Amino acid sequence: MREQKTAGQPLLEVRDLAVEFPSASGGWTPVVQGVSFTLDQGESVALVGESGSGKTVTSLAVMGLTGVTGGRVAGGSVRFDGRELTALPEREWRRLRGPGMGMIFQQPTRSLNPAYTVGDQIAESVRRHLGLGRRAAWARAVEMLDLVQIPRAAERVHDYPHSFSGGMCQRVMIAMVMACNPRLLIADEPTTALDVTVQERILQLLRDLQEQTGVSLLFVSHDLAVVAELCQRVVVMYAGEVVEQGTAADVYFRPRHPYTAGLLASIPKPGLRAGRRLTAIPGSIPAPGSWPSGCRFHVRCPHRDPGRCDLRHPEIVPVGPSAQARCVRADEIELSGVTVG
Amino acid sequence: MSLLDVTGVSKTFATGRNLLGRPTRRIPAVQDVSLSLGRGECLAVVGESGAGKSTLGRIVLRLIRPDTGRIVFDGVDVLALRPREMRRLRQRMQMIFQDPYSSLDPRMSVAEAVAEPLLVHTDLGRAARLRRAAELLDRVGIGRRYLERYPAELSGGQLQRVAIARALTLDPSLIVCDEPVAALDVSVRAQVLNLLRDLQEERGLSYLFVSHDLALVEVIADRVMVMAGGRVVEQGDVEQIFRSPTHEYTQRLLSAIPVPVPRDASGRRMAEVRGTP
Amino acid sequence: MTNATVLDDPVGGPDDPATAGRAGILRGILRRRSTVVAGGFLLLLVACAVLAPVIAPHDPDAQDVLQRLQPPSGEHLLGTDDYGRDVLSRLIYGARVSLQAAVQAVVVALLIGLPPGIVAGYWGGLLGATLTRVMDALMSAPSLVLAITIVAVLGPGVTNAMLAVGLVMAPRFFRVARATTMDVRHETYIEASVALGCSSLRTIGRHILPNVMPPIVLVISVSLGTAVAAEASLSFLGLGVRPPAASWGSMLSTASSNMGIAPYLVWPPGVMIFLTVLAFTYLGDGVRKGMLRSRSAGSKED
Repeated sequence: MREQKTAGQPLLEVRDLAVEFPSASGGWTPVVQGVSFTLDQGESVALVGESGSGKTVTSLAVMGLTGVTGGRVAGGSVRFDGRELTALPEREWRRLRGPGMGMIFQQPTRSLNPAYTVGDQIAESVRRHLGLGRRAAWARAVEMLDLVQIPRAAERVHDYPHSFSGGMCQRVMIAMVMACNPRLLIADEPTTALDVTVQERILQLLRDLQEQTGVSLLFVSHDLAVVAELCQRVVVMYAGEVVEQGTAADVYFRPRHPYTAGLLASIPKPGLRAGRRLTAIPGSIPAPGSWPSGCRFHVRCPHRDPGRCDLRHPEIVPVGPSAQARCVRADEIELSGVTVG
Repeated sequence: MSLLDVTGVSKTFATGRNLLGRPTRRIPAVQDVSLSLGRGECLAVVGESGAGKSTLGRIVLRLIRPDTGRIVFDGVDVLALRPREMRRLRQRMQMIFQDPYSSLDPRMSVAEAVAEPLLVHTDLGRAARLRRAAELLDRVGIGRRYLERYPAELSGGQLQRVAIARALTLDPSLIVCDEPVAALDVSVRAQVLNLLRDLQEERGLSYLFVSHDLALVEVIADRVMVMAGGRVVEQGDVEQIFRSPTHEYTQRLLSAIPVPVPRDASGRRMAEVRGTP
Repeated sequence: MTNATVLDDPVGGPDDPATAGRAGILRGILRRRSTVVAGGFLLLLVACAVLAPVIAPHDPDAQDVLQRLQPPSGEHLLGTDDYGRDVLSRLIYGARVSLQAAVQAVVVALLIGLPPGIVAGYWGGLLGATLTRVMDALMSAPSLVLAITIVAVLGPGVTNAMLAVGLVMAPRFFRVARATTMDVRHETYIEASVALGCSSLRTIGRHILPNVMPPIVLVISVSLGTAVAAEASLSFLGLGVRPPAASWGSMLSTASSNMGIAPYLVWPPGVMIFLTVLAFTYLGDGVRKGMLRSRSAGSKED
C-alpha cells in the first residue's frame, strides 16, 4: 500500500468544493457541499455514489463545465498541478482541456460526431491542442487507435462512428482524449452502457493505458464492483458530500460508513442463491434541497442512534491512517465489508 | 402443463432498402428458438446486445411477429389470434421495459398510468380504478402522495416501481421483464429485484427475465437460457449454469462479472487484510 | 417469506422540478414582449370584428355618390372609396371577413392534413408512402394557380376560396404531424401502451396526439397569417368576396384602380394586412420558443 502523505503536491486537489444549481423557485440549490479529495500523479481515484449524490457534478466542476450545465461553483477550490482553477477564464480553460485533462462519458455513441470519420475527429483534436500539422495529426490518430487496441487501426481510421459498436466507440473516445497526452483522464460511468464482456475489456484497456502513459484517472461510477477493477483509492459520495474515503483496501474490506457497507452489500454475490434476496439499502437518496437535518443518511441507516444522528450534521474525520468517514458512530459500530472466499 | 410454449421461432429484420424497395441487408435476430415456461417459474434469457434476447421477449408478446414458429400461451395459439382477441389476451401477459424514464407517458400522472389498463380492459368507474391503482402503488412501495405526480418528478427506481404496478394491474400470469434493472443504480437494483421476487411468490407469476447481467440472474431465475447471435447456446437449471457452464461463451459471461475486490499495484486481487484497522 | 419488501419511502420528494405542463409553457410564451404585443394586437382585431356593427361609424355598404373618393376628414376618418362608402367602416367589417376566412382555411387544412399525417407516421408502410406522395404532389403544385383553378371550378366566394387555400396549406400540417408521430412512435411508452392492449385509436388519441399538438399549434398560428394574405390576394383578384361586401383584399383592389386620384386608399387595407400577417408570425414564433424553453427547463441531471 502506498503512503499518500509524503508524496509531493498532488496533481489534483479539491477543497471544500460547493456547487449550486438554479432551483424552481428562482434561488440556488446546493447540490455539492464541502467536497474535498486529492489525486496524485499516476493514481486512479474513484468517485462513487448513486445518481443524485453529486459525483457527476463534482467531476464536471473539475473539468470547468459547471457553467455549461447551468450551475455555478459557489465556493471552495480546485487546484490542478498547483494552479487554482475555479476562477480560470474560459480562454485558459480551452488550453487546459486536452493537454491537461480530458473526459469520457457514458454514451460513447452519442459523444462522437456522426458526420466525420473517427480519424478526422482525433486529428482535429490533436491539431487544435498540440498544433500538429495535417499529416502528423493523421499519423497520431492511427497511432492512438492502435494504442486503444482497435484492430487494423490504419484502415479503421477512415471509418465513420456508425460502423463501430458501443465498446469500439468508447475506445475511439478514449483515443481522442488520450491523443493530447492529458495528465488526468476523467471517466464518467464509461462502461455503464456496455455489455459485461465489453466492460471487462474497456477496464483492462484503462489499466493498460495507465501503465503505459502514467495518466491519472478519476473514475466516476455508481458500481463499487466495477470500481474495484482499477482504482487505488475510493471517495464515496452521498447527498452532495463525501461520506467516506480511503484506499481501496480500507473501503472494501473495512468500510467505516454504513452507506458504504450498504452499497457493498447490495452487489449480487455469486452463490447467493440460498436466501434469494439481495441486501438493499431501504428508501432512496434525498434530492438536493430536501436533505434531512443531522446526518444526511440517518433516515436510511440501520445503525442510526435517534437523538444523535438526526440532530447534528457530522464532520468527516480520520478513522485510520488513510481513511476518513463522516459518521459519529464510526468507532462504535461493526460493519462488514467484502470477504474473500 | 406449462404456461408458455414457444417452438422454433425465427425473425429476420430487413434494413436499408434499394430503389425497388427490396431490403439490402437482412439481419437474423432470432433463429429457431424454442422454450417453455411453467407456471410460477422464472426463465432468464441472457446474452449481450445483439444476441436477440429482447427481440425474443417481444415475439413472445406478439409485439413483433416472428417469421416462423409457434407460440402457445395457456393453450391458445397466440399467432392465430385476431387483433381484437389479441388485445384481450394482453391482459394476461404484460411487459416491464428497460428504461423507466421513457416507458411511462410523460403526460400521464402516476395514478392515471397505473389505472390505464383498467380503463382499457374493464368497465370499472373512475373512482374504483384509482382506488385499485393506489392499492397497487402501495404494494410496490410508492406512497400515496405520488399519485398525482408526473414521471419527470420521480427517480428511476420509483418509475420502475410504477411500471411494475402498471404491469400488475390486470393480474397477469406472465410478465416479460426486459432488463428491468439495467438502467438503475446498484443499490436501487437490489430493491427492485427483491420486489419482483416477492411479487412472484405472492401471485404465482411467471417471468421471462431478459438480462445481460448474469450476476442478477442468479438471484431471480429458476432456469437460464444463454443466447448469442440469435441462437440459444446453452440452457439449464440456474445452479448448473453457474456451477458448471459447458459452453465457452457462458463461461466468458460468468468470468466478466466484476468482483468487488480491489486489485493491488501489480493488478492481482487483494486478499483480505484482517486485524484491527 | 415476510412481506418486508424494502419500501421506497424517500425523504421528501424530489426538488419540485420546473413545473412541466401548460402553466410552464404559457409563462414561457408570455415572457417575450414581441409575443405579448402580437397577441394583444390580434385580440383587439378579434374584438373589432365581433363588435363591428357597434363600432363602425357608418354602414359599410351604404353608397353616397356625392361623397366619392373623399380624403380623410372628420366625417370619414379614413376617407371614402369610389362609391362613396366609408373606408374605416369597411376596414372594420373587412376584419370580420379576413379573420373568418383565415379560420375557415386553417380548419380545412387541419382536417385534411392532420389525421392522414398521424396515420402515415404511425403505420408507415405502403399507406404512409402513398399519403406522403399525394401531399408532396399537392405541395409542389403552385399554390395560387391551384387556388384559382379550384375557385374557377366551384365558383367565386370566400368559402370556396378558403377551401382552396386550406387544401394548399394542408401538406404543412401533414408533414409536421407525420414527422412528430414518427418521432414519438419510437418512444417506449407507445410500445408499452400496445403491450397493455390499448387499441390503436386509444394509443393515438391518448399518447401520440398530445405530443403532436404543440408543433401543430405553431403551424396553425403561422398558417392563419398566410391565410389572411391568401384571402387578400384572391379577393384582390376578384375570386374572394362578392361585391359589395368588404374585405381587405377587395379594398386593395378598389384602391389600386383609383391609384391616380386617391392614393391614400391603399394604406388602410395594406397596413392591416401587413400587421396581421406579422402578428400571426410573431405569435407563432413566440409559442415555439416558449415551448422550447419550458421543455429545456424540465430536464435535469445528477
